[in-house]
Amino acid sequence: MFLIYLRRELTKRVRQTILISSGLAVAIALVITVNGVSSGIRNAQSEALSALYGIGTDLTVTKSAVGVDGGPQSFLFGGTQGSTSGGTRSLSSNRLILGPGSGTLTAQELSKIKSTPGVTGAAGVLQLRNVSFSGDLPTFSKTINQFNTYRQSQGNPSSPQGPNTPGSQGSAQQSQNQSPAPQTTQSTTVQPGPPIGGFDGQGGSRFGIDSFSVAGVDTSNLSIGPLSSTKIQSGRPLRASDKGQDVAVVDATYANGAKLKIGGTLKIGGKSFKIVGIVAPSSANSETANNAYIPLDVAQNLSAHKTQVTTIFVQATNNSKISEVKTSLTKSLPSTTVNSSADLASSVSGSLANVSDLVDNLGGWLSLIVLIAAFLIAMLFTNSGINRRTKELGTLKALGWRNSRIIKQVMAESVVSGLIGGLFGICLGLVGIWAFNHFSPGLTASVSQFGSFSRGGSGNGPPDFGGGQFARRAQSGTTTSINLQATISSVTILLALGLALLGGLLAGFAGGFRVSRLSPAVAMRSAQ
Amino acid sequence: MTTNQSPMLTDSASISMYELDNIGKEFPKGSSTVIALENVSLSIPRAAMVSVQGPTGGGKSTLLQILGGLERPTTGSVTLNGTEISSLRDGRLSQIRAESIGFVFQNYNLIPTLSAVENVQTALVPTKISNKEAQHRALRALESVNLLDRAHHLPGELSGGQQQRVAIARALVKNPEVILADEPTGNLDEQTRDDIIGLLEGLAQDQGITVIVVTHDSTVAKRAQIHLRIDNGKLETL
Repeated sequence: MFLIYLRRELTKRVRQTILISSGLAVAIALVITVNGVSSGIRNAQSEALSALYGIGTDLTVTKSAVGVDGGPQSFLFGGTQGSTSGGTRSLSSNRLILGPGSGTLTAQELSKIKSTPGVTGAAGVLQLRNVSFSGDLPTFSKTINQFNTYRQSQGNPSSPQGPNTPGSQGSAQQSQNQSPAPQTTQSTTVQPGPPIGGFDGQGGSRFGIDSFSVAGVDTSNLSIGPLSSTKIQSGRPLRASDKGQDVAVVDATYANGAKLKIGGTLKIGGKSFKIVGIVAPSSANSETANNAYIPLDVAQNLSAHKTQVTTIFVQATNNSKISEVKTSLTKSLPSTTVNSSADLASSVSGSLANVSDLVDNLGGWLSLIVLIAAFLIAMLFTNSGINRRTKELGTLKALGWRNSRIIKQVMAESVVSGLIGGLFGICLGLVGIWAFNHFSPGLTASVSQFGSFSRGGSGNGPPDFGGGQFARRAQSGTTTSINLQATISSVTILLALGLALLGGLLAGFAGGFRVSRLSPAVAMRSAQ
Repeated sequence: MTTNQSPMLTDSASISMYELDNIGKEFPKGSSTVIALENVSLSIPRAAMVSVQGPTGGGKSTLLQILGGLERPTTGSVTLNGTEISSLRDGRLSQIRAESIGFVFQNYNLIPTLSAVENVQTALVPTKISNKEAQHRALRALESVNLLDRAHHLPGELSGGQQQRVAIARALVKNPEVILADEPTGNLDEQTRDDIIGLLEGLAQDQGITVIVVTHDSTVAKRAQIHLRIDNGKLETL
């Protein structure tokens, strides 16, 4: 009889069943959609971070710089440096330096980290920037000879340069051959001609500065660190046998822009490295954390930071240990900065962070408000339905039905309405997630690299000419474009179903309890 | 007869179905109270058909509700078949209603979403007999009121008289000791009224069920063996 009555009530009072169910369905759909988007955002943040920090990295240890790496950031050229051709002197120089603000950690500190309880693995990375300067200048000696000739024509034999001035040889010949300026004689006034040489042939100069990031990675432990979240697009990855070798793997986007290919070479710190592989992030649609990766020992030798690293990537034995390990490392290495994944998540900015904030704040509140509203609506409709049935339920009491049986019957009806609403809401939520994934705009996530950059460092030296500003910008953030995909888990579905059932249960209990408290006579007196 | 006397004294308390002793019932109404029954004492024998008449608001329905354990008296005691029911807890009172008392209401009070046979079955829910047995008994009850062919119709598909027959079958199905009918013919035409009253009469005469009928209709009242009248909360025999 219980099931017959339940079925009859639900099927013969379809309008009420639909009203209660749809109220809950809308709420459940919203909860699922907001939850799915939140989950998608968390995944996107994790994806953005893993592109930079590597999969499996639980903590990073860095240190702030105490000075500008390699002294004043300038390029010095001797008088004989470069090559001269057609009145133009070409110069180029290449430096491999630490990024601004980056301090170094020693091999002892790395060992200390590795032996910290709760640490399952650690790998050091030397984060560098390769800054190159190149330029074309006019050969200044030619201009000086021209000036001397002019002064002599004016009766002033003094010369700013002696006969041994570098570059004086051959200048007269070049003047005769190349200068279109009026020639000087003892009897006529001679005017200086226009400058010669340089990139435009008129004494002009051209300078170019190039900068890209280079990471020296521990080739014996590539499962932790920036290369762990990359995949080989072509060629091969770095391997343990590459230790001491001038080989590099290059980021795919950078390789594409700089027209680098497998088998080609890349000049790093003045040395040519053979490109053995092209890498891309394993998930995010972006660049990897660095433009080039070379063996750690080679990077240390080239940058004169022997046995030193700039970042240590740490893996804890399990998630529950992260906090404990962080505390231990902060205590044992007080001069360092220890960041956990949670700390790093806050370094994600850009439109992804905006959406994240929006979903966390507005979305969370919205789903809560809608859920409360749906509960209230369900209770209201259930109560309204029970009010209309008070006489009927009073009759059942008169027939000898116990209060508990009345409550049970009403609750069962309400719970089934909730179940229908929940299932319908889940379908609606899935449609919402599909729609979101179908129409969601691409987002960008900017990540502050290695977290500790903002501390100290930058104030210790002026912005360098040799690419400092470029380096600073590149070092301080990596922008990743992310296709935000809302996801849904079975836990969310079960939770949504549970909420719907709870809504039905509460509404049914409240209504049933109220009626059960009435005496049968009072209940039957109520208008139907 | 004064209300503090039994209008129907039986030979022996052991054969009385009901014993009412000095029953009073008051309802609060705002800051004052309304006296619905006042010092009602009454004894009703088994297998009797009793009519209760009186003006609207005189206390007829209140008396019926107290007899059925749907309301508790403010004062006095009600004994049903030897059990004092006015002070019983709700659960026990529900059990007595489920086992011993059948109700027939003026507006039938059928569950609109259940068929005739399912409506009859609702009276057997508290008895915890199997669904199959309950359905069998419900069909037999419908047969006894000549409504077997409408067993699977919803109340909305039945006439007023048929709905009242379903209500009577619902009251009968549990083999009650008492049937309390509140204006059972109030909404019926003359022919149907006579059929229904004949049916209730038969229950008292043939099955030994005590039938107490509250009615405005003198024709119905005349068919009863015992006639009671309540006016302004006070009981008198006619």
